[in-house]
Amino acid sequence: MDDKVLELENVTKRFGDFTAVHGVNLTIPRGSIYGFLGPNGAGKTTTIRMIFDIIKPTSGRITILGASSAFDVRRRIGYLPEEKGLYKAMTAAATVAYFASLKGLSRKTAKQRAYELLERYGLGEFADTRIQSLSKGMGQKVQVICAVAHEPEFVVLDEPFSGLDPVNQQVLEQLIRDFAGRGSTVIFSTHVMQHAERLCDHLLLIAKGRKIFDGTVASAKAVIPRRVLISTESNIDPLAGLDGVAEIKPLGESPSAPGTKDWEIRLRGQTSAQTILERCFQAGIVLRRFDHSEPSLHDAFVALVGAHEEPA
Amino acid sequence: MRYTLLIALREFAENAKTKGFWIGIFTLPLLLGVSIAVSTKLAHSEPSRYFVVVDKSSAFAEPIGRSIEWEYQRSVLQALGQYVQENLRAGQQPEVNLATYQTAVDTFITAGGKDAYLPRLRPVLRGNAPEFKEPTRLFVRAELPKEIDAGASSDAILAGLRPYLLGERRIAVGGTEAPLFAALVIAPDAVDGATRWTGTEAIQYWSTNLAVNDLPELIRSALNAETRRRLYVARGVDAAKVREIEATYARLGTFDPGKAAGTETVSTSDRIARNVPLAFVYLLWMSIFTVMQMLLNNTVEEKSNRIAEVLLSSVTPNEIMMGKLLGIAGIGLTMIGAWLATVLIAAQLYHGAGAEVIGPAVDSVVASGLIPMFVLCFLLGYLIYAGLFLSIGALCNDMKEAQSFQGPLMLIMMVPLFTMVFVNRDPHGTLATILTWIPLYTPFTMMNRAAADPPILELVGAMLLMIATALLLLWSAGRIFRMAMLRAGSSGWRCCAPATVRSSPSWCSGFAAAAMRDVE
Repeated sequence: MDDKVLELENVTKRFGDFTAVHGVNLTIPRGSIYGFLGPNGAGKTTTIRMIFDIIKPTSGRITILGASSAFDVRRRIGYLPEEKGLYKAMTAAATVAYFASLKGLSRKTAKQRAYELLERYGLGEFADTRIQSLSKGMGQKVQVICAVAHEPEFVVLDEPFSGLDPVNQQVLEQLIRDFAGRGSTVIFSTHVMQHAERLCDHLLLIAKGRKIFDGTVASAKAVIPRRVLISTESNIDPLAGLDGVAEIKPLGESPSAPGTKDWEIRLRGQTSAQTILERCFQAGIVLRRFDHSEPSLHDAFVALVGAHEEPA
Repeated sequence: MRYTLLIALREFAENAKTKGFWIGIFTLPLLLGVSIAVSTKLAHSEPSRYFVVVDKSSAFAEPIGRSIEWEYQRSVLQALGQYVQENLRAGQQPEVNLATYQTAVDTFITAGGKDAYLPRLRPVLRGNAPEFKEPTRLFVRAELPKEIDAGASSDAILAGLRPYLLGERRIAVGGTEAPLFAALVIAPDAVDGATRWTGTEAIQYWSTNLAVNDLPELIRSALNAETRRRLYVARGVDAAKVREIEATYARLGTFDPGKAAGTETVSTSDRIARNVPLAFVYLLWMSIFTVMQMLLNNTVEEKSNRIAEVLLSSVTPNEIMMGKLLGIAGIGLTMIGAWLATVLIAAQLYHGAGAEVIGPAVDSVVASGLIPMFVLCFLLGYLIYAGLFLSIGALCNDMKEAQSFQGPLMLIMMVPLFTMVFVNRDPHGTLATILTWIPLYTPFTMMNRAAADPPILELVGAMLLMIATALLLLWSAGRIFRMAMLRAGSSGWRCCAPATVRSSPSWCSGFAAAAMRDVE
């Protein structure tokens, strides 16, 4: 079995003079949870629409589950578009069953699956309620269930968390994990870094239609230098001589403790924060604060997008 | 095909589950039934209208009274005929003549009216037949109000009657009071003056109600009859013989060479059947109009609710379009099936006035092949209009936008309604022929002409043209639908698209070019 579910080769999409997606290359391995990150208007939705063959790329090639068009493998893929909509007069169960049967499930199996999934993800009592009577969040959950009810090998969820409350966001995260746990591949686009950080194995970061990062969450975070933040009244010159210290930046007087100063110490390579702490003790540096937290994906996102937007 | 059917089934179910659909199905027969019932009821519940006659010539009041009484007795005989028909014991025939032509009414009056006929009719009536109820006297002559001197001049009498005629005062009638409907003032010289066509009218009818013509018509006819009678007498002609001769009618048989040998006589049923296509045209128009609204609503809903994009990840635009066409056609066929069934069942169950001609007329319609023709016209008309409405639905993002396109199309759709009576009267005329060859109107015109056996070449040619047009319209609708559906839910790329693509007036050039690049 091919271990790649999706491959984009130099894919470009132009609308007149405007280039929405610019020469994107991407390979998504089977069984991964892949996050599509990027600021608004970055080209995420356009890329997803091209993946599903809803719009054609201006140039480049897309291979999905070994086929050149998503339409040839439409029964094996699932899709939640960014702009969500359902038939308002249909019930939740009928909606899920309808879309599942359009994906090839028999009507009986589709119906059975609909009730099963709605029950599992907390909508059991609303299964026979019309969509127009459901809240926006409930409707969105129904639509996510529609995208996965036929148990596709590969599913793309465009902004699945938008409009959901924190509890339902957790339910959706669980749904994505369950789904990936069965060996399926999930791509989802989001603005919320916490979701990507908690769920994704890999990330694709695009800005202004160009890929600016593609790799694991850890390698994205590695873009930001590791650092230690300290607050002290003492002279910190003894730290400057350490091999593992790349740079020491003064951050000014500490707002919480007058008379003390904040410092950012950027670490080199695999230098452990422990080394800095030991040196402080040896040199008699009195520490008011010692903070060695890992950079968040949010920091990485801001750094990566910021770097990309800086003039060359 | 499976996915097309799934979409069709959903479209059918969604529309069939709405209250509006069932209200639509039952409203037409219900309105039909209610309007028949209401008009029958109204005919029986018309109030009596009172009029006064001031006859200074002493020549006309009596014949007018006789004429009004004769007309009333005719209505009694007619009501009696209907009463007998509704309550006749199976297999029985009344021994008295209940027809309402002149000599039959004369015989009825001479025999003693309903009191004489009813005992003779009772043996043929069902045991549980209700009592016969006489119809209301529509026009009743009242006496002049007491304060008006009958000997005064015509002008003085009229001045006295004016407040009554204007509704300011009410006239005393049999212990109660009622509005005065009309006054007839006849001058002393009316016998000679009646035929004088210059100067002041010798006989004047005064009334504020200009809508009810029955009373002046009755009076006019009585005046004519009396004036002529007097002239006959003056010239030595026996007036009784004249009346007898006037009650004689020549017989004219009407035959239709198109009917089978031996059955060419044209009956009332045939005449009804001849006009049935008009009802079919109306039904056809109603059904196509109704389902087009559904098709438009559903298409716009998928666009405005952003469902199209999810659908497109599962099925092709063609499958969506074909599914919609099939599903809504199913709705249309269900609707007309229900209407026809209601009309046929109602006709079978109906035993009121005219039942003896309605039954055979319905049978002849069923036997004539008009119903299969109707279904064929519906299907072809449906496909043509569906091509247009699907395109509109696919191009619009909401109903408001759709309605602006729909307006002109509705005007075009009204033409068959405006012209149907003329086409029915002259089914082989220029108008009928021209409309037959305009594919948008072919279904309605062919349906209208169906009972008149249009030339086979015209029938087949127009049908072929209609099929070709339907295919062409559906093919282009398919392309528009495909492009527009791909545009659906795409505000993401639409907002990125150049202005020519985004601005709706130039969607056709800008968008079509951009979309076709996407599609091809």
